[in-house]
Order: sequence, then structure tokens, then C-alpha cells
Amino acid sequence: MITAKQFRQKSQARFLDYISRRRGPLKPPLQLGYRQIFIIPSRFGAGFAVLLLVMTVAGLNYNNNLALILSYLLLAIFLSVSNLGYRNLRGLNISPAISKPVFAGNFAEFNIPVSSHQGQRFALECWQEECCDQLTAKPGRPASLLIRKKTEKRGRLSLGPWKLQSAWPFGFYRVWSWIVPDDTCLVYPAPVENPPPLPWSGSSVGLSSLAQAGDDELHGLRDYQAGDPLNRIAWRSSARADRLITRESEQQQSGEIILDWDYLPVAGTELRLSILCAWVLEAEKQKLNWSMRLPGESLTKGSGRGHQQRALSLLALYDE
Amino acid sequence: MSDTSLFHRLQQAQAQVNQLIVGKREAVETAFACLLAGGHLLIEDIPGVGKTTLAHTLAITLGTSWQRIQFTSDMLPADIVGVSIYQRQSDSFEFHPGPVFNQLILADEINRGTPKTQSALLEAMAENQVTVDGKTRELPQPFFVIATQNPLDTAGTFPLPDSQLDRFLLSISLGYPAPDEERKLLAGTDRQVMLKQLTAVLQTSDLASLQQQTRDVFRSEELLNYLQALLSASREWPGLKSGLSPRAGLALMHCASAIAVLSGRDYCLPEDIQRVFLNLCHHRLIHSNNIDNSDNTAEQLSADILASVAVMEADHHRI
Amino acid sequence: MNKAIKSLPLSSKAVLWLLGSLLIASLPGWLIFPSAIMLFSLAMIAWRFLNLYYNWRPLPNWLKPLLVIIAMATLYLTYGQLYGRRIAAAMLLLMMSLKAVELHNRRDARVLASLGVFLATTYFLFLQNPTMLVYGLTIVVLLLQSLNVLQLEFIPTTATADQRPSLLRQVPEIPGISGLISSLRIILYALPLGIVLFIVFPRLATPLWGVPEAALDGKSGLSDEMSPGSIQNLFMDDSPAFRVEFLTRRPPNSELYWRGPVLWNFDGRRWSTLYRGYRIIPPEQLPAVTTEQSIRYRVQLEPSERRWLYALDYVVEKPADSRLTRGYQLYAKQPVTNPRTYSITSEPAFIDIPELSGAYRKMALDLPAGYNPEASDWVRQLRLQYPVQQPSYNTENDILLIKSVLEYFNQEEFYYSLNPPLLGHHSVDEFLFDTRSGFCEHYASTFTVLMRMAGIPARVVTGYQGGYYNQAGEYLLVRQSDAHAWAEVWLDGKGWLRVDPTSQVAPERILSGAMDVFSNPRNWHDFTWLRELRNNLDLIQHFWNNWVMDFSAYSQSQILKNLGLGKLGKRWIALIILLPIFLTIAATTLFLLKYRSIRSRNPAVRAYRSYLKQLEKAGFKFSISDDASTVAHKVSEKLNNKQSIAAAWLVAESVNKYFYSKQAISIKAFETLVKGSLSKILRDKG
Repeated sequence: MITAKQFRQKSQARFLDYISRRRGPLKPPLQLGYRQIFIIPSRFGAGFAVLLLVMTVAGLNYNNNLALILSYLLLAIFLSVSNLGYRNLRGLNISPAISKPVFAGNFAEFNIPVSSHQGQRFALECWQEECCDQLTAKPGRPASLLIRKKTEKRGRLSLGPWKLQSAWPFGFYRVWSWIVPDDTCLVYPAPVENPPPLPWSGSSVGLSSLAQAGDDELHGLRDYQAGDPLNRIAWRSSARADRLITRESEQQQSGEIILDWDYLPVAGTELRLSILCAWVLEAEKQKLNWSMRLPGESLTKGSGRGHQQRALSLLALYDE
Repeated sequence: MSDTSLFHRLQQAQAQVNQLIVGKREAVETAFACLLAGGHLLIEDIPGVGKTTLAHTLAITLGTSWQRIQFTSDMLPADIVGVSIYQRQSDSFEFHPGPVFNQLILADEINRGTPKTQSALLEAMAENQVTVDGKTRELPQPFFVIATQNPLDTAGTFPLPDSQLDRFLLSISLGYPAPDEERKLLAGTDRQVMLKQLTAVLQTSDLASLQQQTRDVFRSEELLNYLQALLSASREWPGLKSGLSPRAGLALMHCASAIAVLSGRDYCLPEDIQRVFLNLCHHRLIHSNNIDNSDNTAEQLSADILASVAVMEADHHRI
Repeated sequence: MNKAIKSLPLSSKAVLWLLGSLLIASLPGWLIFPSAIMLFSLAMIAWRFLNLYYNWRPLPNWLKPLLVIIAMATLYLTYGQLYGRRIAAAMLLLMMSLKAVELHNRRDARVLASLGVFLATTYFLFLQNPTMLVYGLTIVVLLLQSLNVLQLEFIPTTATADQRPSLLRQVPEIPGISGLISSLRIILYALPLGIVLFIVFPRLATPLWGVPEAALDGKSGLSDEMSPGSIQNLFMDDSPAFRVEFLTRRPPNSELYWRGPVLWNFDGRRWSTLYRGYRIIPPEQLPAVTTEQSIRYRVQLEPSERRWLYALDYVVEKPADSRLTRGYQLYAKQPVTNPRTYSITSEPAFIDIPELSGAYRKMALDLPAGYNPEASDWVRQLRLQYPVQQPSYNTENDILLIKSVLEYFNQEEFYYSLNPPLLGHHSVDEFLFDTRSGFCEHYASTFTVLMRMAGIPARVVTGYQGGYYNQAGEYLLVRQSDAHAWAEVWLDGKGWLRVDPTSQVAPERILSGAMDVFSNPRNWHDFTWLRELRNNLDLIQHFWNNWVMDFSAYSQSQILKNLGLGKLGKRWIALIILLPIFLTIAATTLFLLKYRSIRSRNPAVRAYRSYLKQLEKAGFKFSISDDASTVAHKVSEKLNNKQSIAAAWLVAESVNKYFYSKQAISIKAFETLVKGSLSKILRDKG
């Protein structure tokens, strides 16, 4: 038993496969040509045409020349507008989508650059079940259409086939092209809210060790060394000593922070990944040096944006 | 004509700097453009490629006073702007000006300084004056700061925030010299010796009139259209959180005008804009790109933006 | 998909464009519909404007059917019926304005735009002058532009809207005047095809469906009734009734009595036609002779929605689809709903019906009882003076009696007046002995009544008298204000004779025209110079009617005939019709697909652009971001000749100087330089 939506998707896929084979690739980067562009009168256009025919017949019947002039002119406009609509898409360049990684549950944003080297392209719409965005592209001026998709799980979210459509200039015709990109957006796991504290000892996470984090009295002081994070400077002591003094914590003595899959006190792959994700963010927020261990994968000690991104990508694509 | 001789001397000055900084004509030209546009220069590069030499050579060639400030994390704002010290004899505080009271300053490894120290210098750069003990003191004119940053070794540093980076007009990176140039460098005289032999080619007054010339450069409407198109393209560019600010736009215009003066023109061309666009975007665009794991570097981005914008757009579109 | 379109809300800009267009589209209604209907429609549109401006809530649902009922009631009360073309058009206007009230989404807007287009077309049923065509086209352009604006704006569907407020693009750039010019240009592209369709698309020689008489509600022009004041009202109306081109001689104005409805029946106040008066003249009584006195002329009649055609006395040759009535009135088979042109020959010397049959004599002497005792006494006195003679062909006394009545009008203090006092029950008595001031219908009516009292058969004829002769166009313009009424008496052996009592009171009315009788202006905008101007401007209308309005199936066949294609078979005719249509469509398509204009207003930009285009054709590759120097660099890399390389660089230098420096270079010099360099480069390359 298949639902109507599944059936629609299936037949759409088959149709797209067919036109890709018959009419050339639909994968960006591509320049739209006559083989990729479809055009039919819109429902409004068909209705308007009927109205024009009624007007023409009435004009003929009464031999009312002014009414006929108007009807014929509108008929002529109706016909020539199809050329304009087709010309509006022809030769348009569509580039692969650009997307930034997002955390699951947020919207993935696919920015699809479209550009025209010839003439202005009016009212370009991108459709994926509904009209997602619209813009008018000027020649030599970059522009991009935006498709937002709700993300549900980590991994790679593919953009999927979408339709570039325009009913410009008057909405009489629907002119469209199917685009079948293989663009994907990287979706990080959603960080859990209120994650367990960072595993300072590097061995196991126990609630008892948490209370100590950030507790001044327990730690020693030492002279400032280049590279010490700002938030570790003991300002009061420094003022007294007239030189910069850094708080030394137990954790730092015991080495780096290891975000370890195996020592997570919970079960379930996705939950573990989400906790790790939250930890990565927290560790980076505290400007720590940290490493990460996943079954079969590991990330050596480091910090910084690049390090964080590598870790998040590992989490996103774990076991895929 | 004084103008021609001034231009001649400007070229001589560039030539002299190029003698020492081999194979970096563009970087040198950019540095000069930055100077003419009255802005400050940021050099992002690894140590040992000649940042200091460039600053030193520039200072001598321009005939300005200069000082190098090596930023460290224990540096205090007073180390830059100066301090008032109590004089027992006169029973008064006497102000000892810091290194900032020089016309050319090389702020080495600026990201090693604490934000407080950094902002002392940055404030001086923005205002052309410093305030110590409630007294405002004008800095000598021209005032030109060359700051360096090492992009690789970032441990324990305080990278300049985006808003502060905007205070630098242009950023360049020198990079390794080309093989031929490097051989020349190895075979040539020692730089330190060469530095000693340098003489001032330009005077302070020359610099002032060159800066005036830069301001007077003619920018046609077509040029401004192009410039604006670049700005809005950067703002609409996918994957960028924010594009170039209006201040960046003004900076771009001034830098392009400086390039025009360096080329001996009294009008600005699109190629002038294209010439400095990369250096202008380099430190302005990349930091707005927060969690992008794509390989787009700032260079790539700004090159893409340049390539996508038509130099001469039709002024109206017909259906 | 359609659901999505339906749910799209509209931006205020689109609503403004559409409402503005609809407002302009509804304005010609003032000329056609009663003001009650106009006021209602404008109120509806105004409400939507205010709703937009003050962001009012939409009307409650229960009010909408109420509004519809009010609209229909207004329609019924103003017209008294719910059928007819005018009423249908008014209903369209009302529907449109009601729909405007609930203009919420794109679908509503599209429906409204379609209604507006349809409304603009219906106006042509009533107003057919060139100004109206221009106005109609303006309406269409505005409505198309509104559709364009609808298309260019994007408001995200509700599903996405709340999730992307921060990501909303800046309000889309919606074209104003420039967009209007674009819409105009689209019309320009479509114009050739429109003209071809107009000329070659087959016309109907006979209508598909008839126009029911009831559907017509002729409001202007003469009617088939006359009561005091009816012609006087026409006097205020300056619109043209018809135009006449004389093919033979042009009679003097005093002889130009354009015959319209002939009125036999009098009920004491109102003159009307009789059914019997419409009977066709037996063929043997028709004049068939033309003399040197005959006048040949062509009449171009404005649509009157009546069936009668105007002609001079007496019609000898008539249009094929018309007939002559017993009253010698020319009567068409179809009501004149479009301007129509017909040719006539008239013979003034013809004598109409020397014999008057009993039934008609009775009709021509019939008077209602109990009216006008004083006038009756007065006529009896006159009759005593000029008694009836025998045999009946002896009409001297009758003629004397007529003359003395006319003299009475002439001698006594009678006035030709625009504002005569109202008359009571015994209208003839009051007019004759008391008020003594009236318009032509008073005189014609009184005179005819007096004649009937004296036993002389008489009837009233209405029509037009005189006209303005346009020297430049060589045609006579007869306006509604030239409407006139006169009397006819029947004398044995002499037939029906025209007697115009008005000429006794105001001879200048007949000699020089109605306008010259009164020295005071008819209304505040009635100036002599304005009248002159209008008379002269009417020439345009005349040509318009000749060339555009008269185009019909007949004209189409004439064109074919003139091309020597009159006798072709049906298949060939079809080809002749279809070929130009297809050729025009093909030409337009090719033009539009080939000609993609990124045109600049700046001639230098155009010159430089064409330089680049030529070079690209020759195999060079440029990108849009290449500035002049880069172009020159790319070009010179592929050239060998020093001269052509120099030429390429010279172009770069001039482009830079022309566009970016203060230095002024003449556009001529720039163009020649670019062209010269281009030919040098191409020679070297090619």
C-alpha cells in the first residue's frame, strides 16, 4: 500500500529520470536551454484566453471595431508573452547550491546562485512543493535563490529535485525547468540541552567531579605563560604580585580533556552523539584543548574553529 | 612641474622599496596605496618573509620617524601611549611619550597583545590622538601603522575582533618569494647593510600633498556604479552573513584612488578597484563566515565576487 | 500549487496599482451609467483604498450579500428593468467594484484585472470615438502592469513566513514607471499581430445572434415621441448625430431638413408615431425619377440604437437594408448600434401622395376631445374668413388660412426661447394666447393642431435641420443640438407640404443654425471659440469613422477585390487569412528570441558593447568582469600586428578616458575611434 505522496514522489522521480535521459543533464552547474524549459498556460492564462475569445466573438457579432481592436491586441499580447516567458529562463545559469552545516532541528539553507549574462530575469521562483523564494536577477549581478528545509536527523541532507519557475510577465503562462542537483547540506547532531558536565578527568564522568570545576580555592597558581587563556588569569593575585598569574587547575595537570564515546553513561547512538556534540561546543566555548574518541574514529588534541568543525563533521557522519 | 617631479619621486620611492623587498611589487604598491589613502596596513604572514624589513624600508624611504612595537601578552597600554612619571625635582608629573608618538609604527604580532593594549593602539589609529591622564595629545602627522599578525601560530593569542579589523584599510600577505627572486635575495647584499645605505626619497610634505591628490582623484558615475555593484554583490553573496559595510565601500574608493595616483592618473578606473579589492576584502569577509567548512578562502570569495560583477552594466533593461 | 497561490497575500503596492487601474477603468462610466451606480462603485473602490491606508479590518461576512442586494436594487431602481446592454455593462461595473472590496490575494487580483479588461471592452458598445480607444488601451496597459507587479512580488507562503522573518529579502524592487514602459513595450511587440488580426480575421457579414430591441435603450438622439421640451433637451447636446458628404451639389442650409420620425398621433400633450405610419409605401408610389435637382450624398450615422435613418426629402435611391414608410421615413432593418454609412439620392421636387386615403386622412385630422377650446374658436373664426372650397383640389382658401396663421406667429409677440414657461392642460390655448414663447416643438405642435382644427390634414415631422459645414473635410456635421421639429400639411393635388412655423418666429434658426438664435451661452462652458474648435476637431472623428469604424466584412471583401483576389476559392481565402497571421507570429517570435536587449541609453556604452560583441564573434573570449585594459590585454595577446595591438590599447584608453576621467571626449570621436580600431583588429585577426 503506497500513499498518494509516495506515489507522487515515485512518478516524479521517474519523470525526472526520463527527461534527464532525453533532454540532457539537469544537474547544476547548468545553463538552461530549450530542452530543459517547459511552458504551458496557467489556469489564469487559460481563463483569460477564454475571456478574450468571448470578447472577440462579441466584437465580431456586433461588428464593434473598437472592441475588436482591443480583443485582437490582447490576443496578440497573450501569444507573444509566451515568448517572453520562455526567453526569461533561457540561458540562465544555475550553480550548485551553497549550504552551511546546521544542527539537526534547524533549517538547512541552500543558497542557489543564479546568474544571467544576458538581460534581466524577472520573478524567478524556486519551487519545492511550494514557492520557496523569488527574485529578479540582473545581468552581471550575482543573486541566489534560497530553499530552506527543516532538518530532522544528522547526516547529509540532500536538496532534492526542485523546480525553477516563473509566470512572468503577466501570469498567463507557467514556464519551468526541473533541476536535479546532488547538493547536500551537512547536518550536525542536535546538541542536547543541559548536557552532563565536561569529563575533566578524562577517565569517566561522575557527578562528584563536576562541583569542582571552576573552584578557585582548590587550584594552585603559577606565573603566566604565553598562550594561557585569558579567563584563567587570576587577576586579583596578579594585581598583588604585580605580574600576571595564572590559575592552575587540577584538570590541566591531569592533561587534556578527552570526549570519549565509551565513557558516556548513556545508551543509544544518537543520544551519545548529541551529548558529544554539546560537549564539543562547550569545550570550544571554554577555549580548551580537547580530543575526541569515537568507535573507529578519533580526533587528536586541538582547539579552534577548524578543530570543532572536524569533530562535528565526524559526529554528523558517524556510522554512515 | 612639481606634480611630475612629485610623481617621479613617488616612483623612485617605490623602486627603492622594491630593491629590498624583492619580487613583491604588488604588495609594495598596496602598502603605498594604503599610505596614500591615509589608512593603516595589516600584514598577515608567517615570520621571516620581510615584514619588518618592509616597514623599516618604508620608514626610511618616506623620511619619517618610526618605531617598532613588539606586542606581548604582558604589555600594558602605557607601554604604547606613554606614561606620566612623577618628577621629584619639579614636583610634577612629566609625560614620557610612548612609541606611538612616531609617524610610522610597526606593530609586530599585534594579536599577542591583550585586548586592552590592542585597543589602545587601535584607538590611536582611529582618532589620530591619544588620551593620557585625561589629556589629549595629537599624534604626529602622517601617522601610519603597519600591524602584523601570524595566522598560523594562534595559541594564546587574542585575535582582533571583526570590528577592529575594519580599522585596517588593507591587508596584505607577502608570502614566499618566487624561486628566481629568492635566488637573487640569497645572492644579494645583506638587507641590514642595504637598510643602512638607504636615504629618504620623499618628505613629509610630499606625503601630505600625495594624500591630498588621492582625495582629489576624479571618480565618475560609472565608476561609482561599479563600486556599488561590488558592495551589494558582497552583501547578497550566499554563505556570507554580512557583506562589505559602507565604511568598507569608502575604504575601497579611497584605496582605488590611491592606486590611480600611484599610476599617475587623476581619475579612478575599475582596474584600480579590482587591484585592491582582494586586499580590502581579505580581513573583512573571512571572519563573517563562521561555521563554514567549505574551502572558500577570503581570496576565493572576493575573486568570485569580482568575477560575477559586470564592469559596465547596462543602465536600463528592456523587456 | 494553486492553493499556495490562493493563500498568497498581496503587498500594498500591488493593491495600489490594481485599485488605481480599476478606478481609472471605472471612470468612463460617468458618460454611460446613472450617477447612482457610479457613486456606489466608486464608494466600493474608495473603501478598499481606505482599508489599505488605515489598515481596516475586512468587511464582515453578513454585509457582503447586503451590498450585493443594494447594488442590484440600485440597478433596478435606476433603470426599471434588469436586461439590456447598458444594464449588463452597469452590472459588470458593480460586480467589479464589489469584488474590489474583497481583494485579498493574488487570485482575487487576477479576477479583478480580467473584469477590468472586460469592462473596458463594454464601453465601446456606447462610446466609439478615438479618445475612448486611447482610454481603453490605457486601462489595459495599467491592468497588465498591475498583473506584472503581482508577478514580481514575492511574499512567502504562510508556512515559511513565520520561520524566516530574519531571512526575508529586502522588499522586492517593484518597477514603477519603468515597469509601465516595459508593459507598453510588450504591447508594441504585439501590435503587428493585432493589426494583422484586425484586418484579415474574417468578419461576420450577418450577426450570429440578433440584438433584441429590448436590449437597446437609446438614450440620446431623437425619439419617436415629442412633447414640450424634448427637442429643447437635445439642444444642449453637442455630440454628433451624423455627418454628410455631398456627392453632387450641396443645398443651402435652409433646405436641409433631415427627416426623422413622423408623428401622427396627438393626445393633447404628446405627439407619437402610429403603427400604421410605419407601413411601407407601396412600390408604385415610390419615386423613381432623378432630375438635375437630385442630390446624392453619403451619410455617416453615429450609433443611435434606433432603426430610422436620416435623409433629405424625398428619397429616390435608398440603402438595400432599409425601407420607406408611409410617412416617407427611411427605416432600417437593424437598429443602428454601430456607426454606419449609407448612400442616398434625394429628389426635392417629388410630390408625395397626391391622394390621401380615408384611413390616413382620419389619422391626420384626429384630435383629442376636450382640449383647447379657445384655439378651436379662433380657428373657427379664421375658417369663416377662408371657407372650405369645393371641389377639394381648389385649395386657395386653405393656403390663405395657413398663411394667416403663420402671419399671426410672425406679427404677434411670439418668442423663440430656450426656457419657455410650462404649459398646462390646454397647452395650445396657453401657448397661443398667453405664454407665446417656446422652442420649435411648441410651434410645430401648435401649428399642426391648429391645422387639424381647420380641417387640413397635418402631421409633425421631427429630425434635424441644417448642420455645420466643415470646409477642410468637405462634409456637413449635424449635431444633436440641430434637432428640429416642423409640420407638414396635406393639400389636395399638392400632396404633403412642409411648413416650418419656427421660421416665422426665428428665421435665423433656419438660415444659419440653431446656435445663432440665442446670444446667451447655453451653459458655463459654452463658448463660441470652443464650438469652433470642436467643429474643426470633428474632422479627426470623421476620418476615424471612415477608416476604422466602417471596417466590416464588406471592407474586407473590398480589399480582396482590390488585390484581385475576389474570386478565389474558399481554400485560398483561408490561406490568405492564415498566412499573414502565421507570418506575423513567426516574425514576432524570432524577433523576441533573437533580440535580447541589454540596451543602454548611453550611446558610448552601446558602441563599446558592440565592439566587444564583434570581437567575441571573431573568437575572443571575455568575461563580464573584464575592464577595458584586460580586454585590450586579451586581444593583443592574440594579435601579431603592432598597429592593431596599438588600436586595441587605444580603445582601452579611450574607454577609460570617456567613462572615467573628467576629460570630455565627443561621442562622435569615440564611436569612430572604436569602429576604426575594430576594423583594424578584425583585419589582423581574420
